[in-house]
Amino acid sequence: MTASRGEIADLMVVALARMVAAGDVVGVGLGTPIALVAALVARHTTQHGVHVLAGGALDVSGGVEAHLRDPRDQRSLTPGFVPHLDSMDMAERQAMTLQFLRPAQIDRFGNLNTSRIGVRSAPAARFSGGLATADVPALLPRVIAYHPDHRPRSLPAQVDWITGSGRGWAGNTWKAAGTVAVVTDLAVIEFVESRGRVKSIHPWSNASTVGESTGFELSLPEDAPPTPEPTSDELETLDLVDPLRRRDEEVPDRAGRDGRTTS
Amino acid sequence: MAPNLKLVDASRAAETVHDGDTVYFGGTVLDRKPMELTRALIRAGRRDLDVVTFAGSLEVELLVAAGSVRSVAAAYVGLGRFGPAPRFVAGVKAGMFDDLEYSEWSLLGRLRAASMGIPFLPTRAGTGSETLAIHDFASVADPYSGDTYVALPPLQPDITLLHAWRASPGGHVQIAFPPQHLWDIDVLAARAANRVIVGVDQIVSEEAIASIPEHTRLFGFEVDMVVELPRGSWPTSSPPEHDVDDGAIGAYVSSGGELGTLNLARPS
Repeated sequence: MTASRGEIADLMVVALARMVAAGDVVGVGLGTPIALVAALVARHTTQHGVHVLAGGALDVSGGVEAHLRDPRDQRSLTPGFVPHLDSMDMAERQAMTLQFLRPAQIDRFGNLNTSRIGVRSAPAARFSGGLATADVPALLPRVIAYHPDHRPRSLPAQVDWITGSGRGWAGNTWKAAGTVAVVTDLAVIEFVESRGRVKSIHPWSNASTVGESTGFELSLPEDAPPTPEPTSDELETLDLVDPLRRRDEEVPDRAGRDGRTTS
Repeated sequence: MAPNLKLVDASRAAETVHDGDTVYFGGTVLDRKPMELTRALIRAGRRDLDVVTFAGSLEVELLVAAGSVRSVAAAYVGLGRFGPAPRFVAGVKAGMFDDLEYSEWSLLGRLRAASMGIPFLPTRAGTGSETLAIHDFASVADPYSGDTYVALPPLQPDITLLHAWRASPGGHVQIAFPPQHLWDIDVLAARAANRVIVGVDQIVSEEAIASIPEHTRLFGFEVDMVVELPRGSWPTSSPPEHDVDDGAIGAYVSSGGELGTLNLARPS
């Protein structure tokens, strides 16, 4: 079975959106359209006051394209703008509750690499940098990762560099769960006690492909259910918030590999 | 009265930056980068700069190309929707300068500690991160709860360079409103620094500043020099004057990092 780039993006988005809970305040970082669309879908499909803080503005109406506008053209679309230092404080005091992160690598501890492959003084690859990837797993109640190219290199036994620790933070004053799950183009994996457990497998994949594509041992129930496909309501909402399909840009165009034929 | 006390040209401003200085470059990614002030530093032959920027882009590319850089401290260096910053990436891989990657909180927290005048800022952010370990921060026990926090020490740049919309000769700096995303980091970096130089699209009278005081974000006593540099952030944006020059940045990327006109003064 094969899936198009658009089908992969749609299912990843709705799988992320379904993990948003009542009352969540979702922070969205720069240049991550899947994260933005997922947060917007959750806001549209949840009746429980989900808020989205993206690009320095709260709850911008009008979908992804409105978020890309200059702030001067967002008048009447947002209740207000949030200075960045204020949003940092919101995260630190957990008024912001959730962020979706897109690492280059993620391991079984939920550790996130957005920095480099190889040693720091002479790396084989240097990514643009993690911004808050190091920070939010220890701040927010939870973070959820996503990766649109599930393969052993992306989900290795151990990340090349721990930009963000998946472990979170636990003390007398605050608790942060760290990385609780990763949504890939093949499956939804939850992190429980430093172990990845397959929660569901996307309709175009299967248990052996998921296992072979993962660099660490997975708890993989034989009867892991298929990830539920987007409902008609969800598809309608996707069209509403992202009519130009910016979400597809994050899915690699990679025809004919592992049954994930894309076009 | 010396109304032009703070108004200088770019070469005079560059003379006050020294080899080996820690220099914060304002703006974020493709917005409000102090490009013309950066070019002035390069023309003045500055070397061994410890470059600090929250989210660097073309200013880092120019400095790396000129061989002016000893280290780069940043939470991001890239060209936003145009992808990676080719010269920065090549320089890191070749070990041309020290790659002092920061997390967002640790860099901004250090600037906050400096701007607040406090000895350190405790935070949970970055706990367990190897990116934080680069900087060897101490930890601190909360005397009330006993919990352990990262203790971020102040970071006081020798100088902060910004590009903004307009300023008066007395150094009051105004930005467009509503402001661009991440505008407040420029103000933070100015208040953290030992000295501040602001390039602006327009120099206006003190009366013009006072006519829209809600736009004022830095005050004259916080600013050491202002430089009139129309389009001085080109090809990055400068609201409300102009947007990002997609064509110029696209050409830079598609040429694999040919500086071409980016190294020269901005087009009018």
